Amino acid sequence: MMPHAAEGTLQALLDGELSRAEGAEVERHLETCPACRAEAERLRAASDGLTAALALLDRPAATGRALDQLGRRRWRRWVGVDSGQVLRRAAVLVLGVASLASATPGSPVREWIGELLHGAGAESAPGGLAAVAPVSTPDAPPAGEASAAVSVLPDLGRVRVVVTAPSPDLRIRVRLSDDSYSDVRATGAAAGARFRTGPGRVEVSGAGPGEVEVVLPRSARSATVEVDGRPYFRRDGEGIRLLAPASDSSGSEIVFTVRP
Amino acid sequence: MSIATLLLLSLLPASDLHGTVRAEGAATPLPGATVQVVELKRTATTDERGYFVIRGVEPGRWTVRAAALGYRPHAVVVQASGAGSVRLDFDLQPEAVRLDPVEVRGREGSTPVAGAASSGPGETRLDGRAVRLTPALAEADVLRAVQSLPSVAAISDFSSAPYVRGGSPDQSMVTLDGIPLYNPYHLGGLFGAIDPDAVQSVGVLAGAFPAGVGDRISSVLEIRTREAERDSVRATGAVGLISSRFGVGGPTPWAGGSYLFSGRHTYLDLATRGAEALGVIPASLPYGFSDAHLKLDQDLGGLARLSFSGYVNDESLVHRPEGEKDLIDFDWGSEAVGLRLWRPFGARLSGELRAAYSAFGGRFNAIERRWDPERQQYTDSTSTVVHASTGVQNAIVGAGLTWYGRRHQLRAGAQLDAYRFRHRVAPNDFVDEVDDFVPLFDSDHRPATLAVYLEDEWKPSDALSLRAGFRVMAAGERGTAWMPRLGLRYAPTSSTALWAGAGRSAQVMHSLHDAESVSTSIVAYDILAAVPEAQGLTVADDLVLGGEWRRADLTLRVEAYEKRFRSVPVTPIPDDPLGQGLVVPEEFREGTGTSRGLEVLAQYARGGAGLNAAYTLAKAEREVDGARFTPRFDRRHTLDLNGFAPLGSRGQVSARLVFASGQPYTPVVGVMAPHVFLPEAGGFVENGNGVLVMGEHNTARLPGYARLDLGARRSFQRRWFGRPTTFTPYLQVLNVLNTRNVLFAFPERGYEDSAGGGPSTRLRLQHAPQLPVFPTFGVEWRF
Repeated sequence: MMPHAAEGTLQALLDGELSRAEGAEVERHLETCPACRAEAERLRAASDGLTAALALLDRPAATGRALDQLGRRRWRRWVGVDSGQVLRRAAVLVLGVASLASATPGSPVREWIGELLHGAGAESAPGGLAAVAPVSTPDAPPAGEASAAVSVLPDLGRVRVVVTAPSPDLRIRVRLSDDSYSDVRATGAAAGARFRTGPGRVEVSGAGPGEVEVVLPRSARSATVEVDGRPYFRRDGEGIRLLAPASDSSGSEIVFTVRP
Repeated sequence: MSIATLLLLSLLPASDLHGTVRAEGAATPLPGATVQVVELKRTATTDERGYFVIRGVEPGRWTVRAAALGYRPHAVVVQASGAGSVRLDFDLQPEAVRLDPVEVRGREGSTPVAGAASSGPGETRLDGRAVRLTPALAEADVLRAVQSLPSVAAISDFSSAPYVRGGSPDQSMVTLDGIPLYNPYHLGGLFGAIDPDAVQSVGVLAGAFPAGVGDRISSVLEIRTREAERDSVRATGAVGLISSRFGVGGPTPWAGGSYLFSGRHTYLDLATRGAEALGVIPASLPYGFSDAHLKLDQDLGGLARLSFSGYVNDESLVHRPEGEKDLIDFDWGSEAVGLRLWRPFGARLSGELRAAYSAFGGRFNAIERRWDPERQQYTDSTSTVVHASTGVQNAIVGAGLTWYGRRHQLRAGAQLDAYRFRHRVAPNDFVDEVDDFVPLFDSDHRPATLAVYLEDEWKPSDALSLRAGFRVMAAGERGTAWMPRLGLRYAPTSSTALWAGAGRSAQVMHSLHDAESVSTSIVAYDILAAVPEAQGLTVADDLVLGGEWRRADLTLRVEAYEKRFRSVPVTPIPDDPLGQGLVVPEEFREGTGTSRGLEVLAQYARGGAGLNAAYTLAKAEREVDGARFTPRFDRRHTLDLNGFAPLGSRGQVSARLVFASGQPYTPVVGVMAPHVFLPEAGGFVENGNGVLVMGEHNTARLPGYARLDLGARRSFQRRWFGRPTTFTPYLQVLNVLNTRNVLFAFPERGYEDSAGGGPSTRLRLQHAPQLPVFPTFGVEWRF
C-alpha cells in the first residue's frame, strides 16, 4: 500500500502537475486513505479560498489573462502565414524586433536607461499602447495614492495581524467581512511598510503616518490585531473585544490611532 | 506567455517585490526557496541569505507562493500598486519529515528545475543532514560525504582530498562561507577538518562556472555553514571514537544578531596510549588535532547584513621521550577569517564587500640525539634530520554588485588576491637519507591576481534561461586570462530540463606534489607554489551538456563533460613511481591534459527513505614531454549507492556501497640481471639482485575497488533542565566485507618459495591494502 502522500504531492495533484500515471496512483490512494483525503480537502479549500479571493479582487489579473490570450491569438495568426503577406509581415517583424531591442524586455541597457530617465516604474507605454491601462479594483485606493496590501487565509481557523514599530498617528482601521481571508492594506504614508507573513499571520512594520486597513474574516475562529505586542482588537467566536481605546467605533469599522 | 504579451505587460507601470524567506521561529534564512507570482508564472529563487527579488510585477492582486524543501508552502495575495517596491518576508513552518538529502539545482539566483527556468548547468548540493548520515571513518566527514556525488572522487581511503572531473586537488577550491581554505584535513588527509554539525550544505561546482566563480580550473566546493536559530540557544555535540565535538548557537545578547560556534578536539593520543598499554597496538600515536569555527551574523537595519566567519585547524605530532634517541616536533594547521557586508539598495541593486585572510602553515623538525658515552645518555647535542617549514597565505578583498531587472540579472565584481607561498627544507646532517623523499629547497613566491567579471543572466521566458559573462584575471608576469563563461538552461516542462555550458578558467597556483608518486595516495596536503612565470597561468576550457527529469519521488540527472587543460605544471614521468618522492620543487614541465566523462545521478525518496545512485564514466589524460599517460587517480567506472531508511520511529539505517574500476599503475615488465666477467670463473657471473625494467607509465590497472559501509542510529528524547534533549547513539562499520582494496602494487622478491626451496629469486606482484573493516561508534546529542 502506498504510504501517506506528501503535501507537495497533493498540491501537485491539485495543480495538475502530476503525470497521468502519478495522478491516478495518488487518486487511488486518496480513495482508501481518510487522512490523505482530509489533507487534500484542506489544501483544496485553501486553494479555493485564494481563488475566490482572486475572483473578487482580481480584475487586474483578468487584464493580465486577457493580454495573455490576446498574445496567444496574435501568435496563432503568425503561425498561419500565407505567401502574399510575407513581405508585409517581414517589415512588421523587423519593426517589432527593433521595437523590442529599443523598447524593453530584451535589453537590460534599455531597462537601465528607462530608470535613469524616468525613475521608478518608468517603463511607460509609448504611443497607443498607453491605452492598455490596469483596471482598478473596487477596493483599490484612489488613483495616485500609494498602497500595498497582503491577504492571508486563517491557519487552523486563526488569523493574527501584527503592527510593529508604527509611526505616531498611524490609523488602523479594522472591519469584519464575509470573505474567507484577512486583508491588510497600508495606504498613504504607510504604504512603504514592510510585510512579513507566516501561516495565518500578517505583520506590518515600519508603517508611516498613513493608514493600515485590516479586514478580518467573520468565519475565523479567532482574529487578533496587535500593535507592538499589545492587543488592540480580538474576536473569539462571536465576541469582539476592544483592548485599546478606539478613536472611532461608531460605524461598521473600528479606527485606532497609534499614540506615542 | 507570448512575446507580444510580455511586451505589453512590460510597458505597464509595475512594482517590484522583494524580501526574504526564513524558517518560522528560528528566523534562519532558507537558501534555494522559490517565490512565485502564481498567475504570472514569475519565479525567483532565494540566495544564500534567503533574499529574493521579482521585478516588474504588474498592478493588481496576485497570489505569491513561497516554498522550500522541508517546509510547508505558504501563499498570500499581494496587491502591487504599480509603483515602488513591496517588501514581503515569508516565515515557513518546518514539515515533520524531511526528505531528499541531495538537491540538484542551478546556481544562486536561478530557478530550480521544478519551477521554470534556470541559468545553466546545475550544481549538485549535499544537504548538511546527508553529510552527517553518510558513514565515515571515525568522524562524520564533509569532504568524504561529498565524494558520494558523481563529480567528486578520492584517490584512496587514506586521502579525502577531492579529485573533480580529471582535476587534482590543487585545482579545486574548498571554500567555507566563501573563504578559500588550504589543506582543511586531519590525520594526513584521512578526513576533513570541518565540523559537520555546523554545515548547512555543500555545493559542488564542477564545470561551466558562472563568471563570479574562480579561480581554480577544476571545481569549487562551497561549504556553507548554517546560521544559528534566533529564538533560543541550542547546543549540539558528539562523543566519538577519537574525538569529541561541541557546538552552540543562538541569538546574540544584542538585537538582530546570531552566533554559531563549533569546536572539535581529539583524544587519539590518549586512546592509542591506552591501547598500547593494553597491548592492542604496538605503539601509541603522539598526534593531536583540534578545529574550531565561529560565525556571527548581524542585521544592520533593512536587509543589510554583516557576516563574520573564523576558522582554525591545528595539528601536531610531538614525540619528546626522555632518554630516547629520536625527537619529533611537527606542528601544522590552517586558519581563515572573513568579513562580508551585504546590502540591497531598494529592490533593484544589491552590493557586497568582502575581505578575508586564509593561510596554511607548518613546521617540521625531526632530530636525532647523539649518544654521549661519558654520561651514558643521549644529549642535547643534536643532529637535525629534517628541518622544514611550509606556508600559504592568501589575503582577499573583493566587491560585487547585482542588478535585478525584470528579465535580467546583471552581476559584476572584482577581487584582489595576494598570495605568499613560502617553503623551506633546510640543510641537515642526513641529506642523503631524506633528500629522495623531501629534497632541499627554499622558495618564496608572492603572486597577486586581480579578477574582474561581468555577467548577465537573461530569462526571456519561463522555460529558457541564458547566462553570458566574462571574467578576466590578471596575474602580472604570469599573464592575463580572458575567460568567457556561457550557460543555457531550457525547461520545456516542469519536470524536465536540458542545459549546456562552456567556459574557461585559470589559476595561478599548483602543487609541488609529484602527482604520480605513490605517496599522493597517502598524504593529502598540497604544498602550493605559484606557477612558473615562463609558463604562465594554468588554463582549462570545458564544455558541459546535461539534462534532468524529475517526478514526485524520483530525480534523474545526466551530465556529460569535456575539459582541456593547458599550461599545467606536470612532473616528468617518474622512472619508478614507487620510489618517487613526495615533493618536486623545480622540475615541472609545461603539460596539457584532457578529461571527459558522463555522470548519472539518480535520486529516489519516499516515506523517509532515500537512495542516491551515482555512476561516473571518466577518462583523464595528461601529456608532458610528448608522452601521453593516464594519471594515477583515474578510475574509468565508479558506481556509488548511498541509501537511508527509517529504523522504527526514531532510528535510521544508512548504507553506502561503492564499486569502481582499478587505478592505473606502471607494471614491471622484466628484470635485468647484471653480470660481471670473471676470468677465473671462465665467463660472466650474476652480480646483485638485478634492476627492474618498468613498462610504459600507468599502462596496467590495479584490481577493482569495492566497499560496503553500514551505519545505524537511534534517537532518545529526554527532558533536561526543562528542555528537550536528544541523544543519538550511532554505530558505523566501514568496509563491512573487509574487501582488500588495493592502494598500490609493488614487486616483491626474496619471499619464501612455496616449494620450500628458500628465498625465491623470482618477482611477484604484491598489493598494499587500503582500509580494512573499521567499526566506529559514538553518541551525538542535541540540547
